[in-house]
Amino acid sequence: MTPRECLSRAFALFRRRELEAQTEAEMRFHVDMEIEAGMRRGLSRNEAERRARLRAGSHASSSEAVKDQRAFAGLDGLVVDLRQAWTSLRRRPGFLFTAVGALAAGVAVNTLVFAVVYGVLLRPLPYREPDRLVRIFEQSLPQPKFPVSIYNYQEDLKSNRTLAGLALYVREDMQLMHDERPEQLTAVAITDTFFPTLGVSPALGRNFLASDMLHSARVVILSYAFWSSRLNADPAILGKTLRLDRENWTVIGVAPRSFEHVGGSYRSPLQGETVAIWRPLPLETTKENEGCQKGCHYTNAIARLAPGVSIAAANEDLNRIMADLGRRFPDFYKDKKARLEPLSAEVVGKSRTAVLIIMTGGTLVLLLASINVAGLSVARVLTRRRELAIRRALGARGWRIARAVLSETLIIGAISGAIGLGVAAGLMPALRALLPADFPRLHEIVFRWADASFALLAGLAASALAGLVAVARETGKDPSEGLQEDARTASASRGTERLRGGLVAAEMTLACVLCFAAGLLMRSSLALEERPHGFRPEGALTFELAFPSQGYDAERRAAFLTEVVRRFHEIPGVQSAGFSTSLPWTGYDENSSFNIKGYTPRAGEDVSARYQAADPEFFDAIGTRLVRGRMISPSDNAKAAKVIVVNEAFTRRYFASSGALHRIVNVWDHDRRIVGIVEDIRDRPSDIAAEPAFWMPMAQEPFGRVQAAIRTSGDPLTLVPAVRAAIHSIDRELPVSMVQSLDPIAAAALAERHFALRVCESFAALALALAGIGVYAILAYTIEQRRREIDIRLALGATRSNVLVMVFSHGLWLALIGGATGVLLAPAAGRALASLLYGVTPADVFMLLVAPIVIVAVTVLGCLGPGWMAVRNGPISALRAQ
Amino acid sequence: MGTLYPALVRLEQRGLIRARWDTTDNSRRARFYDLTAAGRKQLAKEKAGCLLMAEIMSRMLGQEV
Repeated sequence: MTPRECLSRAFALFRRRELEAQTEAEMRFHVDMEIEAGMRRGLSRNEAERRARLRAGSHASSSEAVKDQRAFAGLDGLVVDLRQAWTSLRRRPGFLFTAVGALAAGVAVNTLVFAVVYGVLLRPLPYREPDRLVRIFEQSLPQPKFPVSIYNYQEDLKSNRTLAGLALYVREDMQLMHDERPEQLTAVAITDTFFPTLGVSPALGRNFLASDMLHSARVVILSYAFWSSRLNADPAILGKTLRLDRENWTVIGVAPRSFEHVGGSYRSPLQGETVAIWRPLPLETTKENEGCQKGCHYTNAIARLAPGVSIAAANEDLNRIMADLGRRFPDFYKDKKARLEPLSAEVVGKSRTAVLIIMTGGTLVLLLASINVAGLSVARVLTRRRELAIRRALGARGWRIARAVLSETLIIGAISGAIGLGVAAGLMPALRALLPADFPRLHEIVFRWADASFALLAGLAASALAGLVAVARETGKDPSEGLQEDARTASASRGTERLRGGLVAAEMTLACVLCFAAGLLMRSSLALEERPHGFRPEGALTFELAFPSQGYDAERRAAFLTEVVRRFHEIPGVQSAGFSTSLPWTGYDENSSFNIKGYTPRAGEDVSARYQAADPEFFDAIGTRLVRGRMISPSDNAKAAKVIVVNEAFTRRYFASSGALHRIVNVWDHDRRIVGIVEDIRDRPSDIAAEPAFWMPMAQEPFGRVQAAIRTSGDPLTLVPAVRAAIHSIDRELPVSMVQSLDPIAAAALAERHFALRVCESFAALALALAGIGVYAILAYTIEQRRREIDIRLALGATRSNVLVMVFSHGLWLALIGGATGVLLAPAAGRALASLLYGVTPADVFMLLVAPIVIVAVTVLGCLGPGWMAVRNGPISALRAQ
Repeated sequence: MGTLYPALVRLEQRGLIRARWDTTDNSRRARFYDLTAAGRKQLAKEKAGCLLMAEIMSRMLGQEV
């Protein structure tokens, strides 16, 4: 068929009535002419008409032939078929509801799941040629993925042969004085190469220059959102100054609208429009920072591969530079390698497991829904066997039969598609609310038609395929068989029966595996919650203070903290108040190496721990217990002997055989005595164990950015105004940021795990429901097929319990096969989840027992309906029916 | 008519003929079919094909007899 013909036929579909009338008129014209001619030859009118009609042949069949030629022969009757399918579906609401329910659930779940997977994993990052962007780390034995040092960056920049761009960034928030109110802004220090590497140029003004990379540079680039919302999109902003960190900074540029900063897990903002200000990252080497340029690792490196260069090739190139650095500066770079990761993988970071769980679970649910609908449509074909046999006996060919079956599929698909889409669109806001707030690329998770149509098509295809397989089996036979079979009340052919049984058993298997996975996660969560936290989240207020570098030397910072704690104690209800460098469960990950007097490190051992500072009351305020020795005391001031407090993990790691108390540790060129041991707090609640950590007295090492914790007897948030007043009574310009009670911080740390758990639970519940529906459908169908047989059995003296045993054993047999296969597959699923498990093994015996029991329970539930159907009729009804 | 009309429709779909309503000499409404340019080309092609076939057939049959 040429395209032209196709087009002409397609148009004909829309003008059918008109074209039919034309053909009709044309044919009548010829008949009329024929009649006239006959009458001219002297025939009577009746005789002439009769002869004309004989010559023209059957009027009906000719116009049928024209109709077929005119349009697509097969499509013509589709509307009729659809109408008929709808009528017959309405007469079987049970089938309609189960099929629509299963498919709609599958469509809805998958639309949501693929929205997450696409938004987070698949959607290209919004940069030019994002595939060429990579993150670079320094790799060594103790630190497999370390931020690069500034000196390394400079060497790489100078000598690489494989990169088209290389830049550093590190989050360094700034304080803005805005209408007399200090405010903390998300700011990132970047190198001049940052925007060019991403392929972005400012919307207004200019980029940083290499000459701006100085400690003394006071220039900033603003984000479009900050510029337009806070500065009213001032067109003359360039050259104006903002008061940031108590100094005047000149605005030299505005980033383009909707520019997204690169996300990451260390000293990075979240991926998205999350940054307000970019400032220069000082690269110059001064007397003070000379060692730090090579030895400090806190800057994130991002690079663009040169065209046509693979990650492996670039890695080799950078390793060459690292090897050279290792020869020249063995103290800093010995045995170190470069490590490159695609930017897209880094942005997702630790949430990858969660996303993969969602994806796998969602795909399994879609698979289940498809199997379910497939099973139902096989059953449906079987119940229609007699009707289909009659059609075939009357001369319908394969295509007509298939069409009759497919039109039911089409109707089910249309209804469930509409419901599924509605549900998915309605649940999308709920899903976004359920996702942890620090989930990467949360803003990219939106409803997409493509996902919905994919899910719907998959479900429909499965259903259509299964229906057609069943039809093929039926049409292979002589139609008379179908007609007779029904009279003999025989059941479906063994092959078809086995196909259906297999489908239901497969559903059981999937449901069993999902149930097992959900159980593992649930048990891990319980185990995690039972562990001691190492602190008490309830009743504590927390906030952050960041001292500007200007006007706050170490001495003044220490004095400020002592004074402000004294003023906090004047607030009624405050029990204890203290400052530290980090709060529990916030993923603090800043490490420092040190030497322990009398301790010989093993070869390749990295003697390091999380370094922190705390003041006397901090541990009291967060509710951490002292295990041995003493806490930091007010007498541990700058003039006193230097001391540290360590955690239990520290003593386990370095003082396994001997006591840790009173040992001397050399940190940052000072000998410090261990005076106390506090209980462990893990970096994140789901971590297997806590990392070694030590705290120096804040008075001896006053940090510039500190976290406060204030414990009170009442609601911590009621303290906020008084706390603010206390701080601003000392320094009006010091902003108080990230004010919240400790509870939500703890809850946020658990959010991702809870989310994975909830997703798994809902998938398992859906899977169980679908499997239950599957059992119900197959048994209900079988009962219907064997109705007369069962009734006769009852009439001949079989008891109701005999019949029930028959029904239940059929269902339980399927459950047994499915459950057994599920148990075999379950440990593999457990291993895939291993990183989220705590306190249970991937092949947890308890869950291996529970999952099949749940499957059996669901099967029993599914059997109840059909069982009742089987014994509902008394023996009399069978005799009446005969 | 069961053969003729589907054939006409097919030719029309292929763009080889054009149909229109008009009045006959004795002023009755009838449907007139014309060849289109493509139709004339196709006709010439088919004609040539037929002639060629006839020639081949006559030669083959001629030799055999």
